[in-house]
Amino acid sequence: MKNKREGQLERPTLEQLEEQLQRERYKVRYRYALRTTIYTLLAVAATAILAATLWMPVLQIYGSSMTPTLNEGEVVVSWKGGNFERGDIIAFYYNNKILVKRVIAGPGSWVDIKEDGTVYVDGALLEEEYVKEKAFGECNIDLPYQVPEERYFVMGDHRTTSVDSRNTAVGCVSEEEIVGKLIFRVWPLNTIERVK
Amino acid sequence: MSKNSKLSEKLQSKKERLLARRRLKNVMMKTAFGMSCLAVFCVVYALVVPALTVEWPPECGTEEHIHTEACYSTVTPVEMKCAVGEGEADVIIHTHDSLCYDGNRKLICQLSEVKAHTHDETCYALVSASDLEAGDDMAVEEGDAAVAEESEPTPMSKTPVCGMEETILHTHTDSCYNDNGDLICSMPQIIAHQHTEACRIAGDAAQGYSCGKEEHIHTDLCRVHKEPEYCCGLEEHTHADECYNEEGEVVCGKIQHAHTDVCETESSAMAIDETYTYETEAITAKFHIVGDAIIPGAAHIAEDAKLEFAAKEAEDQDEYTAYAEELSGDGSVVAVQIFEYTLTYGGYELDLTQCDVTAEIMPTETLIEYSHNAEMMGIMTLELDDDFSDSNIDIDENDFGLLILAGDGESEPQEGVVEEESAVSLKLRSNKVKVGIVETANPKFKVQYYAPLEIIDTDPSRNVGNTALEIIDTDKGTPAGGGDGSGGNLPKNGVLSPTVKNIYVDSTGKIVTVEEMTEIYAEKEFTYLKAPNLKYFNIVTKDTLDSSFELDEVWVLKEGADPESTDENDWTIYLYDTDLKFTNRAAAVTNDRYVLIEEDSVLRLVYKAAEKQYSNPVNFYDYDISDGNIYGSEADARSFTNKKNTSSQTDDETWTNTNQQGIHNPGNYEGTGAKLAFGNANTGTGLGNLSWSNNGKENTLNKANKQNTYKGCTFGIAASLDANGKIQYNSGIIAPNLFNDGPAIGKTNYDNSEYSLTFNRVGDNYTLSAVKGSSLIDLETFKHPGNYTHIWTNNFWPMDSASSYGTDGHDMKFGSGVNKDKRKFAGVDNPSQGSLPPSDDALDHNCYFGMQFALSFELTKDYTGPLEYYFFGDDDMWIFLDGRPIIDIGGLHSATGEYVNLWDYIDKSDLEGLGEDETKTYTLTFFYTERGASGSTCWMNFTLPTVVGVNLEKQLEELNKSECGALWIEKVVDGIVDADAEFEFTLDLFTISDDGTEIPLDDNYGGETLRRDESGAIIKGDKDEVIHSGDTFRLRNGGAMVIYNLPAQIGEGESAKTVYYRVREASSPGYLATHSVVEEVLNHTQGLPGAGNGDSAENVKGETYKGMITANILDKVVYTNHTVYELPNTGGKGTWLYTIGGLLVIGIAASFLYRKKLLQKERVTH
Repeated sequence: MKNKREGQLERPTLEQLEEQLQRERYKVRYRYALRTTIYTLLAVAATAILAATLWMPVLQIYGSSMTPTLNEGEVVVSWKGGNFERGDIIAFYYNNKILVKRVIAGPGSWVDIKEDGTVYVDGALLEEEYVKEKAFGECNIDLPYQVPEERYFVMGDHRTTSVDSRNTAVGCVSEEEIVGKLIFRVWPLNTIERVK
Repeated sequence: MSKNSKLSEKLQSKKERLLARRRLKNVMMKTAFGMSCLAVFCVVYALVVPALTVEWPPECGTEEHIHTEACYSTVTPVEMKCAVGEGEADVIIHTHDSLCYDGNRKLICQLSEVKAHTHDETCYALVSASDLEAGDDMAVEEGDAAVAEESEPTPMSKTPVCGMEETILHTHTDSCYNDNGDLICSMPQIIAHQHTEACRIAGDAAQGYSCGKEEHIHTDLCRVHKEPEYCCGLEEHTHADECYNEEGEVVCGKIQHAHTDVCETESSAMAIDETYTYETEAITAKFHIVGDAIIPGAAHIAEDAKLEFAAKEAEDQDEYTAYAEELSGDGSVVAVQIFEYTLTYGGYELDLTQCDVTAEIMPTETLIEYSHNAEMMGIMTLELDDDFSDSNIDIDENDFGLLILAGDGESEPQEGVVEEESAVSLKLRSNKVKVGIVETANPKFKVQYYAPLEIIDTDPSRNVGNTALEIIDTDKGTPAGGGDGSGGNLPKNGVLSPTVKNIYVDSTGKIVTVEEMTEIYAEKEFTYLKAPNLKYFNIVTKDTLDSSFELDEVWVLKEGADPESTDENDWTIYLYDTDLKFTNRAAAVTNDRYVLIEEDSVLRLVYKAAEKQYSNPVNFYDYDISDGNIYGSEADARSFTNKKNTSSQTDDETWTNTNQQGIHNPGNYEGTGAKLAFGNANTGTGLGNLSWSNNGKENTLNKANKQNTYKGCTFGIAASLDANGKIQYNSGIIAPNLFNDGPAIGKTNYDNSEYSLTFNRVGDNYTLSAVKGSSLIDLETFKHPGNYTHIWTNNFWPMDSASSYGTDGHDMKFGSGVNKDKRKFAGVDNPSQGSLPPSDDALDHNCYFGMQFALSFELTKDYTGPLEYYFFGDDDMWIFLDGRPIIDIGGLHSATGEYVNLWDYIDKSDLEGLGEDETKTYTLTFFYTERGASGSTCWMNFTLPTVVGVNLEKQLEELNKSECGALWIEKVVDGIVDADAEFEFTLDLFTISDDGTEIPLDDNYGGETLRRDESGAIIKGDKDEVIHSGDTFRLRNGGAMVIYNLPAQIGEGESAKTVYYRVREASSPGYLATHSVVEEVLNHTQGLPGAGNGDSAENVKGETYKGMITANILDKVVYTNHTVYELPNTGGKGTWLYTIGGLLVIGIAASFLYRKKLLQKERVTH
């Protein structure tokens, strides 16, 4: 038979042993690093999920009734919890959808809207610098209107086309339905700022 | 190397490792950080929730669109030029498809989208059984309730409620119009149309936007929202918990309501077509409500809402009294009834102002019986209770009666007599009906019936300057109503000067007429209450939609004037229209639309003749006098060599053989006698100079009989009609079957409704004007043919358009003045050859033809109008009234006329015995021939009432049912056969004498060849056949020969012999002939002998079959040729070679295998 060897084994040199040792050590280190990285990413993702669902829902804006404050396609971060004050932009549930409107008046307040779209809350003129063009819109509630308890009167910034608490189709928003208050705009990148 | 240096080396290397590790760690951390950010980003992106800002949807109606490059391309503008447009039909079923749009996807179709609809179960509303029991009229008809109860748990309403009309495709045809061109069809014209490319016209292609959309971006204006205005008057509200109290009762004070489309509309219409009945003791009122009833407001109609009709009597007693006083001027008021009606739907009263509401007020049986008893009762309510009787009056039924006067309180009341089936019909403009029952007088009066009739003017004093046409006058002077029925003064041979009179032709070529006021029906007497209006005493137009007359005026005789006067000054004349009313109440005559009928009044109804067109079916027969071929020379024609097809005729000299050819074939004549023939004596037929003895004279039959009779006519040729309506010639004359009396050689029938005669009809007067199916029109006008100013003709050449004119197998064309010397005949007689006669107008014509038609008319016992017939023309014209000759102008002659007063032939006693509405029907049968070429005239005018065309039956339907049978010989090839292959048969018809000898039949029998169309159905062949015993004929696969009228027996009594037939098929190589025979009961009414009820027979081998003619039986002998197959010869070397070869190969392979095994074994051993 060809190349048949009987009996003797070669002994590795010292250098060879060292090289092998290096390789083994490298393997250990590599595996360790990989595990660590994966665990870290998992932990980060879980934390992000918790944050996005429990404290800071991220919303993407559809529609134009909050222009010019919010435009179609923008992504905003909201904050759950806390009190909602006049001027805050809130997200709330309505017929299994999330709507975004601005709080105009809180529970118990009287809201009156004039023909030209000027809003009075509890008799006081509301300065609305966020509204580009005032309009009475489609209002089918009796004015002046008192906001019921535990409810908020909301309106879109684009008064002409917005469907909001001025119309019984939406009405006032109850506290339980509110998802959160919009705090930050994160997309597009050039519009990252606090939401006013 | 020292220890220190080794140590420092180690430290250095360790240091480097540590640094490297740290660098690596930094890189790892940065990488981890970046990956974490990426993970956060991805997680957040996946968890982004859509948040709507919610605005009103755009209500601008335009889709948001911005043009892109894809929208811009080459566009071809397209216009719609469809022949079918709105208005083409009542409904056009159409669905838009791609062809309805242009390149810009813009709709260019002019048609609306209409879907076809057929009612199905879902279109009918369900009606509950309880409604059926309630006798709901709108749900079911009488009888349906019983059926519904027995078998159907959910009966359907009789009216579809789907709101859609059924679309049944229908296009108006001639039968939808009457003779006046008015549409009489009630079906809407519905067609279906989808555009094709032919409906579109493409323009020049250009660059444009092909997306079909407008560029549009929604603005605020598009989203301005308008809340719909709800007319329901309700607020939208859904009950919440706070709307209920503890007991569950609604306390919010609001109605739960959700707005629907109904809430947005102010009102809706509902189509109604219903009839409701309201009965009182005296009258029955039927209300017909048709139209769109308006449901006021946006009523909330329940799903199970029903229409409900209600009527109730008015409560205001003063109103009754006032109406009674209003009617009191018309007679004693017997009763007054006032009631109001309403129609509701789901509880909402419907607004019927857009509907047509008609009320029919009819007396009940109680009232009718009361009217017969005629007791006076109180006003206001009709109570047939003796307590209310005021007084009894002796009423003579003929002097007094009861009237119903009914109105809606806003117009004059309508009146009707209290009789059975009488009704007052009025259109209501309010929801109130006022009915009064009034006692009234019953005057007797007379009615005359007159019409100004256009009579042919025979007065020479009125026709100075017009051309006189002399005609034979057969009038015996029998007055209207008939006489002894002995007949008129028919002309006779040997009488050169019969009684004549003139009719006149004016400068326009029309026969001059004069208008005469003529009594058309006898005067009748009536009593008013039996005949209160025209419906009862207008006997002229009462029952006929297609009446000859229309009522024009009503004349009322002035006091003291003569009832027979035709001077209008003796009469008060009322123009007739539907508003004209008749009354016996002077108080009712408020304007000239009322005609007062008093005792002994004389009314004259004056009619005007309706002008219409009348169409009568007609049969034409085209006769050939040649052999049906043309030749280049006389010699060829005489020897029948070098035959050419007639259709190949050119302007070159052309010959034809006329020696007893075509219709003159001896086979066409049976018996002995002078042969009636065509072609005069100038076409070489050999028959032109024949004579016939009659009335002591030798009369020429086939050329002008000038020496003997008036204008060369030969009278008395046609004697009568037999029981089957076939013409019978006088003794001594034999003739071919020229009309519907059977087939003949040289005769082509046009008796399948190819033609009809059109008459201008003015009242009961008819003038022949056109032949439909040909180009002949204006036949009522006389003209001069060519330059012959002494000849008056209407150029009657209907066969010029026949398919047999100048075609193969028929006479060639002749008559043209240009080619008159090129159209030659070769025959016998003197001359025996020469040019065929030219036409008077120098044009080719299809000479030698016959015409036959029939019509019927009805007479009542009251008809007193004229019954007249005028004819002017040539050659033969024979007319029979119920088989009796009344017009006889026979022979070859120039245009001659005759007049008959049909009253001469009417027996007065036949009419006097008729009942009031009974009629007696008479049939006129017309036979006409053109026998002499050159010129043809046929002008006819008759005055007859109630004319109806009669369809002449074909010869097949006239079979003598008790004496004849028929024979059907069919050829079938079982297998593949050339479609043009013909198979020859011979037919023998014979009797067998006592000694067994076969005696062939001499006669000719009519037959026809049949063939099969593509579907295999039997259809008629191309021409009729004449079969004689011993004749051969050929059939193709699927073809048949049918011979009719085969006598079952020859002779009578003890010498009668049964007729046999023998069919022989000439042998055909390659086929095995079999035949089968089926006997079927002869179906006399079918055009073609068809399947009967005979038994099928098995195929019997043999080419000859002998059978017996059986009366009323059709013998079907079917010859079937079976293709005979032979197996090809087998043989040769066979397959042994292959077998041996295969075995060798196997052996070699086996040996190799064995060797291999051996070698393997050796190796192992070694």
